[in-house]
Amino acid sequence: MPATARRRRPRHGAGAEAQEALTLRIHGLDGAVEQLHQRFDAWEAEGAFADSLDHFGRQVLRLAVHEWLANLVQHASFGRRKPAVALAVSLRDDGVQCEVEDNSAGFDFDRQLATQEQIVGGGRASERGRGLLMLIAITDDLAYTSGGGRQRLAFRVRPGAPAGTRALFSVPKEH
Amino acid sequence: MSFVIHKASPQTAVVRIGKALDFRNAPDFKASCQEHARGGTRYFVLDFSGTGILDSTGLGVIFSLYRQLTPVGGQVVFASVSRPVQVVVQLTRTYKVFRQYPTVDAAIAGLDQRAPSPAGSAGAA
Repeated sequence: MPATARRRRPRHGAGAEAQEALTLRIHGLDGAVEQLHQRFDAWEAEGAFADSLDHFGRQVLRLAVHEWLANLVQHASFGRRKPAVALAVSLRDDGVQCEVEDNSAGFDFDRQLATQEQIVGGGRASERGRGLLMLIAITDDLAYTSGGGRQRLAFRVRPGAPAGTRALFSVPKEH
Repeated sequence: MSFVIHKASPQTAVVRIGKALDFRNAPDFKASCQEHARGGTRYFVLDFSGTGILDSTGLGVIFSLYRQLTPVGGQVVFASVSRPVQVVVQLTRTYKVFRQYPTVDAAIAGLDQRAPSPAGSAGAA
């Protein structure tokens, strides 16, 4: 099913910081990633992020949402529910506030993160399981909450390169 | 959404990544490159011209290829790195591991000039 995307003004009393919000609703996971990038392409073409993020920040935002959506597509359990993902990007003077809600069963974020930390920290030669680490490294104020059948990932992206980049992959030592 | 591999020489393959290398096509990429490596390819030039998406899974299979080639003196290099891929390279400090060239031809020429010896840094990227 096609994604719907619209731009909305912040609700009354939302605060002076939030100037505008970009939203996208995805129904079903088939083609979800393609829909996401098509919408980001359109937003970029419209100059939607111009006052909030520079080029680097826009790429970081796109990558962060992609990594999360990839996580949902590959690992989330929706039971009999039709998967529904709602993205909202609030534009601010100092970057964006991003929220992604879904109707999956949720998971233990901290436990999965710890598992990925062990993979990287142990220098294991595995190409899998670094999406959450990537998310944390490139975003600010990341929080995952769940309740009432809805799961919500929230984070901020600021202009420029994140300060907390890290090595996510190990290489063989020189012999 | 597919990548294309062609041989530039008996030991050198050029992989035109295309629009994306991510969790959707990473397994195919890995399998195809491994097949070429088993056939004697030692040098892989990854052509990122026009690539809009490189995620952690895509980067992971690139590192997997790198680890496979390093013990036999092979190399993986990047060419024509697009702006989105450059952002990922900066974020993950991958520039410390994979040499970048402005074009595929420059990458092939650069490989020809380098002695085939075990590559890689002394520690984590």
